[in-house]
Amino acid sequence: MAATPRSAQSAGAATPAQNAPAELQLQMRGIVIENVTKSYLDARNITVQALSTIDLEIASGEFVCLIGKSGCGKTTLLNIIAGFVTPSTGRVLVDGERVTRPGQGKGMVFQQFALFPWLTAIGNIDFALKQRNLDKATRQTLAAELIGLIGLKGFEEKYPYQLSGGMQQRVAIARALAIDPKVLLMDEPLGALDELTRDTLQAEILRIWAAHRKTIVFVTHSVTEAVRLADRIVVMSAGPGRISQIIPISIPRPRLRTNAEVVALEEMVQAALG
Amino acid sequence: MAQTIGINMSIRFPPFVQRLFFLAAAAALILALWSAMVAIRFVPENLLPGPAAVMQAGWQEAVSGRLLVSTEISMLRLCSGFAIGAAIGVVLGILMGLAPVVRMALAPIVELLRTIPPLAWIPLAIIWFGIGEASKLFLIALTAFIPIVIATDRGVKQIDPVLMRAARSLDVPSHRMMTGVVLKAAMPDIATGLRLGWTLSFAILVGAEMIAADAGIGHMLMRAMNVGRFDIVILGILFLGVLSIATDAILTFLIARFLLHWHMGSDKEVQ
Ligand SMILES: Nc1ncnc2c1ncn2[C@@H]1O[C@H](COP(=O)(O)OP(=O)(O)O)[C@@H](O)[C@H]1O
Ligand SMILES: [Mg+2]
Repeated sequence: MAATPRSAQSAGAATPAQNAPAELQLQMRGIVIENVTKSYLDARNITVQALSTIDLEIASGEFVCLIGKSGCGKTTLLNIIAGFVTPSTGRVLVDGERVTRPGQGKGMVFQQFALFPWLTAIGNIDFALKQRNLDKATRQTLAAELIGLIGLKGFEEKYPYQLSGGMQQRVAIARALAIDPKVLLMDEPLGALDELTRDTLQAEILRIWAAHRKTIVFVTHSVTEAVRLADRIVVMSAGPGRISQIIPISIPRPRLRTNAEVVALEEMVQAALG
Repeated sequence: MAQTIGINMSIRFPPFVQRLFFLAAAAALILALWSAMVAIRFVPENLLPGPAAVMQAGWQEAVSGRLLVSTEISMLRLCSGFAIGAAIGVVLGILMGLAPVVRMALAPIVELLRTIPPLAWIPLAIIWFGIGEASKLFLIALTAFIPIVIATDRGVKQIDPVLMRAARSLDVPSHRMMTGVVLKAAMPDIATGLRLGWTLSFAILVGAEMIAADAGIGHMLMRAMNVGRFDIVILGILFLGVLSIATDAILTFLIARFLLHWHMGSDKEVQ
């Protein structure tokens, strides 16, 4: 049912989250985006509509890729889910809880890695663990586990500038996981990496996702990447930003490009992008 | 491949050694000129004592303990005044950098203060605080405060917004946001401010001690001039130069070791 964008105007389109009593809403897991629009004021104080009505439901544990050309509002939508940007209308629920601010269990991974340069790899992870009221021994155990998960044993005490881009992004992913987030929001996380590293990290992200089953919203402009990773590809288009198509993928992973189905799907997504 | 065939013949010393070499060369040159001036009686000998006379004066002042006492008094003033100015500068700089309202209120004041040469405050400092310690602390703190508040404000303004977002996504409580993120992220700029603040404070310390003090190195210099002990005057000048270089090196070391050890530029390790 979530495979097509719903129109908020049409009768009976009210989402389950709207109709359910309060206690039930709290139990509802995943992300619900309802009737969200966003207009910015540009430099000359003219209103620019970045997003027209967006309705989307993302199931708990689902891996969704947002794809679209530059400027179609992917970052805006992700930042609205993250709580960095307030929507002009509508609302976003994460596990039934309305998003009003960043944090609250919404893990972020940025294209620029955004590690704290004054902390070592393990320091960055521990910084996040410190928000969880854990005792030191538990924090140490969890940090060591996360370092193992991202395959950086032996690099714990390195500062970000001593790590390659791919390693830095691994640490950033571990840091986001350290808050035990409900969802993981990633804005072109592999966009700054070279082809080979990107390839490795795609596999790593799939492995981590399989291990933790976090809900992931992953922004990309690479068709190959989206087809390799996603349960569903949400195709966005500009003028104003909107969802133009939602493509569910049932091809089992790993999705190799030697598979004709994968190639056909890539062509289909490419066509949807226009 | 070319690397294995060609042999690099030039011997390269580390930058630190190179600096030391040029410093020693400059010192030797000055010493030679100085000795020559004394030898040709460029000015009467009692007005320009030679290196030997100055060294003898230095020995006397050191053995008597007077030099040490003056140094202690001056350094204590400098360190406490600097600490006060730096603390206020960093706190206000962070507030300015984070809150536009605070910047609007403080920026014009800081802007005005920075245009006034610190020495110009000396008369007011004496009127307000007398010639005791308070007037020196006020002058040094004010002098250190200005470059530090400006550098801190600039550092906070330049923090990568993505870094702030990353911190906010981790639910960092606001006090940790200040001490654990903002202060650290602005530290490269703050460090620049601290070093500049120290140099300027050092200058105002000597100025203030020459005009309005009854102890300290500046005072020692002034008194020596009044009683015609030009060997001690020259000793004081040289000693201040050495002290300035030494304390600046210590401050630079402390910053690199404790405040910016994570910074790329401070990495001594060759990977
Ligand atoms: N803070 C802002 N102020 C004004 N316009 C903005 C702002 N952020 C984004 N926009 C505009 O909204 C549109 C969507 O931007 P964005 O969400 O960054 O797209 P994408 O991530 O898909 O490239 C663009 O036209 C952009 O110029
Ligand atoms: Mg973007």
